[in-house]
This record gives sequence, C-alpha cells and structure tokens, in this order.
Amino acid sequence: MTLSIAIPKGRLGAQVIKVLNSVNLYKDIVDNSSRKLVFFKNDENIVFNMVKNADVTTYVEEKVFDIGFTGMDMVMENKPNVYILDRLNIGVCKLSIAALSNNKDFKDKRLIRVATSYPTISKDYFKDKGIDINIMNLNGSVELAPVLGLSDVIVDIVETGNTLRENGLEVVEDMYEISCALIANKISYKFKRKEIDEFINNFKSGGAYEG
Amino acid sequence: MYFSGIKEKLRFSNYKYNIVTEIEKGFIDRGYLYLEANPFEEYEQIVIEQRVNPEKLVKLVDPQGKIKVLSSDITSGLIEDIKRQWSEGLEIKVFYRDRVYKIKDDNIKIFEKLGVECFGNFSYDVDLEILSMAHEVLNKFSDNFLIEVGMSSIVYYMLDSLELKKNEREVLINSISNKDSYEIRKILKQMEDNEGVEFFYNIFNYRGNIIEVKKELEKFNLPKYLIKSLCSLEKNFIELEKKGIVDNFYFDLSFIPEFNYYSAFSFRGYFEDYNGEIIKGGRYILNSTEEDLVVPGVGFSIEVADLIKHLGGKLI
Repeated sequence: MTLSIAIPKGRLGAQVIKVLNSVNLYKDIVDNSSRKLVFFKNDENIVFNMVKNADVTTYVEEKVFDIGFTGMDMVMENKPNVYILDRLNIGVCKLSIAALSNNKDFKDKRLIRVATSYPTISKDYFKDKGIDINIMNLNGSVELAPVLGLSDVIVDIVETGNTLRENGLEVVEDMYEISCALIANKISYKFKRKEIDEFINNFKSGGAYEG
Repeated sequence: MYFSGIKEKLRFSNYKYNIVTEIEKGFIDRGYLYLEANPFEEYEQIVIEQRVNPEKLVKLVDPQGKIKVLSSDITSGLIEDIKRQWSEGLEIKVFYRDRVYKIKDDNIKIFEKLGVECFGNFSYDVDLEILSMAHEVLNKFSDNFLIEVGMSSIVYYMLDSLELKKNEREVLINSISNKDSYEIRKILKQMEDNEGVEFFYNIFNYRGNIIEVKKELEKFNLPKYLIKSLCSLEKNFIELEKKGIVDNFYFDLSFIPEFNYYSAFSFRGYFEDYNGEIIKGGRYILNSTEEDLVVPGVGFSIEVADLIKHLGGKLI
C-alpha cells in the first residue's frame, strides 16, 4: 500500500526535511532546493508531496494524502476532520496578540479591531473571553495594520519578536503555544495503520517529538 | 445535487432505487419488516438526554407553540414510536428508509438513511446477526472494507471516574476522537494518578485483538454490566472468525461515536477508497422512567448518499 505524505513548503517544511534527512531510511529523498513537488521512496511505496502549509489540512482531510505535517495554527484555524497523531518540537512559536507599544488604551474600547490571518482562532479566543471584536482578515504583513490605523491589535505568529519590534509593536498576550503537528486522514489511518505507525516510529528516531 | 436534465435525474434516481432495493431485499430475506419512522422529535427530550448538539437540530414550532425537531436520527424516531406501544416480551426486527435533517455550514442538510433495528432481544446472537448483516452490505460493493468496533460505554464510565468539569470532559472526548495524545497528556498531567488517569494515558493501546484488549482491561474495576458486554463482544469476534470474516473487523476502544446512547458496542463501516462513513450502528437500551420501560435495541444505518457516491455508477 502506498503511503502519501504532505510536507509544507517554506520554513516549516525545511525543518521537517532536516529531520527526515537525519533518519537513514528517508535520507536525501526530498530535495528542498529542487523545484520538484513530488518525491518517491520506491522501495517502501512512500510518496512525499510538497504543498503550501495552509493547504495541508485540506489535502489530508480530503484523503488526497494520507498524512501530513503542518503547523498547529493551521489545524486550529481550519478545524479539519482529521486525526492529530502528534506534535513535533519543530516550528515552535506562539500565537500572540500584539499592539503598538504606545497604544495600551485599546482594552477600554467596546469593540476591538483585530487584524489577522487567523479569523477563526481569533473569533473563538475573544468570544471565550467575552470581548467583542471586529475582524480584519489579512493575508500577510499583518504588522502594518495597527501602524496604518486599520486595527487596534493583531493576532499573529511570533517566533523571535524581531518583526514586531521593528514595526513598533509588542506582545500584549500570548494565546497559544504552536508547533508542527502530524495529522492523518481518518479513513487512511484505519486502513494504513501499520504503514503510518511504522513511518512515525522511524521519523521519531530523528528526534523531533515533544513526547 | 445538480442534474443537467430530467433524463439524468431520472437515471440517477432509478440507479439509487435499484441499489437501495437490492439491500432491502437482503433485510426482508432475514425476516426484517418495513417500518416508517416518526419525522418529528421533541426538542426538550433531546436536550434533556443530551443525545446530540442542539445547534445541529432543525427546529420548528407546532400550533400549540411547542418546539419540535425534524428527525435528526432515525433510531430516535423509531424509539419514540416503539416506547409508546411496547409490551413485555415483544421482539421485533424492522428496517427503514428515511431522511434526517441537520444544520451544517449554516444550512439545512438532508441525509437519506437505510437501516435495520432489532428491539427486545438482549442476546449476543442478535449482535452477531447485525454485525454479519453490516458485513454483507459492505461486501456487496467492495472487497476492501473495514468495520471499526468500539465500546464507548467503557470510555464514558471511566470518564465519570475522573470528575472533570463539563468543558474539560468535552476536550478529553474530542481529543480521544481526534487521536490527539498530546492534548490528552496535557489534561491528565494536571490530575492525581488513579485508575481513570492510567486508562486514558493508554487509551490508544486498547485496540486490535479484542481478546488481548479484554485482558488489558481486567486491571480496571469495571462494573459487571460492562464486563458482560465486553465478553459478549469477544464471543462475537470469535464467531466472526469462525465465519472467516473477522479480518474485516477491527476493535478500537478509542472509537467514540457522535451519538452517546450506545450502551454496549458501536461500530462504523468504511470502504478503503471512499473518504467517509458508510455504515453506523450499535447496541443501546431504550429507557422510559414514566412507563418503567427498558427495551434493548441493536441495529445500523447506511448513509445512502455516501454509498451511491462511492459506487459512482457501478452496478452491483
């Protein structure tokens, strides 16, 4: 049985590939410098597919791929009907609320304007806290929104905090710890349990598990 | 579903009709009789019983101002009818073909169901008959299918021993359903070690061979009725092995169905090449304190639309 695996392109994918390369069985199969999107490990019937991080949940939920690596932020935002088999200690960061360093008054507002690429997570989080918000859905450069007066705060991924600082923003509140998740299609996992468990065990030997 | 013309619609309807009739023929051959389900349910009753998330129900108000629900689950509708007219010692086997209504993505969705139920019989023979019938249905359409069997009554019993808050309980159930061991560990870490904590730390290990799982579960202080259910299911697996069909069955204690009314085992059937559940079923008990009624039931339903989608025009 062929096992198809989704690997996110970009920074997170590079970290996943690094771990794959540290496992003898999967060494030098996925070439991150190549423009190819599909890589085969013929002797074990494994196919690695490079896709956009934001699309991994869709591909796996729709059973195009059996399992996939993606950020937990994508899982929380897209809420796919998949198994979340484990979390890895790569791609570790925080999903935080940030505001301009000189704007602390936003908390007194009746309606807070939130700029984010994570509308679902933001809506759920502020709803739980009983705070009314107006979401500004952005696809990138979210840090600009408070600077240009589009929003009071932003909800975004924070790794080092450098981008925030450089744009005059600071973290007001950390919402969630985020890391890379290994997700599986629910039907695939029932039929390919042996193959998936075997892959996970081999991948674990690369030392990327939170335990 | 969109059709480019009436001829296409007719062709599809008749194709579906033939598939459904073929399955029903199998039910009739086994002595099951057709029963029409009540299309309405009492909203209050569903909320009290916490059978299903009220947000997913299609509600309407009757002329007396009472809130009714368009059937969200055929078995519940049948149960209501059966309860009213049940008499001691009765045993009935029925099949149905009906629709259920649910709110999904802010729209009313209609699901067509075909299924069987056997009321008034506690014996494991009936469980075996139902599991075998589910196998027969799936086997008509594919060689590559799987029936996942669980016993959520054990999971719910152990959950009660943890004394969790309502939201923690929901998170734990969701995490088990999603096989999210990281989230489970996060919840359990905050708790003092006890039998329940040990059970949930290992929940994903209780799967595969039911005889071995049963041995593993012996260390937990399960009540007699659950042990009896587990023994009965074990007996069924042995019988399925004798019939040479056990390879299509898989026991997984972490399988928790959407409806929490199953009193013993529950199961789901899947095709390898289809991304969805085709069959849903299990054993339950109908209780009514008003009428001092206890009626055992066991059965399953087939998701007609999913089955047709999987077949994609193929003939049986």
